[in-house]
Amino acid sequence: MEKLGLGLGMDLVWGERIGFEKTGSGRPTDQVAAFLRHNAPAYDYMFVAFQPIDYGPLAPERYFPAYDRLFELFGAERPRAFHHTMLNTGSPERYRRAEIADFTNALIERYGFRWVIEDLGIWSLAGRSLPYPMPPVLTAEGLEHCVTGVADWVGRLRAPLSVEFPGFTEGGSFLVGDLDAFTFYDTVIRETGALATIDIGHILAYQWLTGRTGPRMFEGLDALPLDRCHEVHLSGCQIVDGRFRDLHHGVLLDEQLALLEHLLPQMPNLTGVTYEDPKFTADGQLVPKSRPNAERLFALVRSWKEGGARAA
Amino acid sequence: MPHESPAPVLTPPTRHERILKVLDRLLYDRDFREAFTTDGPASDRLTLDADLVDAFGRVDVHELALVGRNIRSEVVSGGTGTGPGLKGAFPRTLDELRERRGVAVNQVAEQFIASPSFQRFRDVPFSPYGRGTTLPECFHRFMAGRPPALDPLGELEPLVHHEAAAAVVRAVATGAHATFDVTLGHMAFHGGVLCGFRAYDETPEAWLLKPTMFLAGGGRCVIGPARRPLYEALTTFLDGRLDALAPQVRTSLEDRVCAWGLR
Repeated sequence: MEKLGLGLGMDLVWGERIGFEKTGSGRPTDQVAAFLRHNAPAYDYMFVAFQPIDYGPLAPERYFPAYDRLFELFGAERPRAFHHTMLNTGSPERYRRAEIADFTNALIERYGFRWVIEDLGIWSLAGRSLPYPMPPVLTAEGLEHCVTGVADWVGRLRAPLSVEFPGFTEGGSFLVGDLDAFTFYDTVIRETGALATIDIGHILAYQWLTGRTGPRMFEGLDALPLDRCHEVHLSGCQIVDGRFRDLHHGVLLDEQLALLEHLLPQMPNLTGVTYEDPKFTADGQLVPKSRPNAERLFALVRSWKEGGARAA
Repeated sequence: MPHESPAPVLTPPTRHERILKVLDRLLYDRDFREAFTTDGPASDRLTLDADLVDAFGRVDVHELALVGRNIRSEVVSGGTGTGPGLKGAFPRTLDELRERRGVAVNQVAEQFIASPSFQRFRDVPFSPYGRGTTLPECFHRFMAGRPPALDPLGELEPLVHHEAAAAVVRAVATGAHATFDVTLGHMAFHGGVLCGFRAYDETPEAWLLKPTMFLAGGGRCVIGPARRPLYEALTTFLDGRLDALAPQVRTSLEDRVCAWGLR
């Protein structure tokens, strides 16, 4: 896939200010529209993360009005991707996929999504959504379930599936099983033919969890499938009481930028780097606290896109 | 010689299945979670099989506590999959429990979440367990079971039913029948419209519960006072048994159903 550059990732919840209006047939809120009008040209591609409207049928036409308007605001025919939340790629149990695949493929056909992403997480267990996706069960049996499930999705979806390294301590997930998460993830990617998405905050969360903090955060990264990494995500994070929190509040940490800079030269097949879930004001401007490191990110990505290995 | 069916062969659960069972209890059973947090996976109170202890050796108990709190928070206040939550759906029941019985909403929620009734709640219909039942309906089932610490005599059941029925028809009006089955007592589908009626004649005066009709269909819901004969005529009409109705009744019902937007 071609090198695209800087991506915009938006998780738009129905009924929230940074989200979709629930009234009528559905559309991005005025705040989202203002942000896209001001900022869309700064990004080379965008993805939207799937949020169900309600408990109603998983019917693509229910989402068309809102997504049509969203992508129109971003720019017709510009590159788009889709962040799924229903594939349940890290599920440790059987999962019925046909209906979700039909729904997703209908969206792929209408919007030409270049790829579909989902974290290798347990999004729901025994039919109950979890407040945050849990990491997969890190045992041999858990690995087998993940490989089977992801391979099945790769075969069903009409766009490449990029599987994201899961979050580990998002203020509500814990480790089950004793396998190393980097090796586990690498196996899933290599055995299924899926692409890899590296969320820098998720990597740091796992490093912090395993005691690899500070300068040790660069240790053990060779176990990741960096050669298959297709996209990198960065979202607002915080270190709270020594724990790494992936809060998606728009403010990037210095550690995230340092790790990105370290990894970029090791990802020969990278398509883009996504700033995920920026936070912005009612008139569409990035919140002041997020600007300094967002600007550093943009410069870093520009430099990478233009071929330089390093940026200021 | 009499035919004897062979005894079913029970396959013992695999280690993976047992891990998932423990994971489920860590997520939803507060007492189990607290025993784990206090004593670790090898605790005598948990009685984990010896070959499972290692699998839970890396659980960060601080994060585990947060997961439990987040699940309870979504059940209480609403969130992914839980709709409006207990506070949104059962304000009067929770008031009764707090003011007259001194039980706070978080305590109610913890007991509910750890109960078999909560296990019937499933908001994602793609697991091996299939479709679920709505959170309000599960909560009604829990309270109808007369939980000893909350309502041992089942006095609150009619109030819980009234609030559950209202929440269920509101959910069905937004299309929830795609995800959930409806099995709440006094309710059934008639001609594609979910209908329920209960007289509530056994309830205390102070609750002001009147005979009530609950309807959902065509993206709309209707909740209001009604008499049983009207309700029965309405379900007859919705079932398409028009010959059983007098012409003027039929016309009147047709007008009402149309005005309510149920079809």
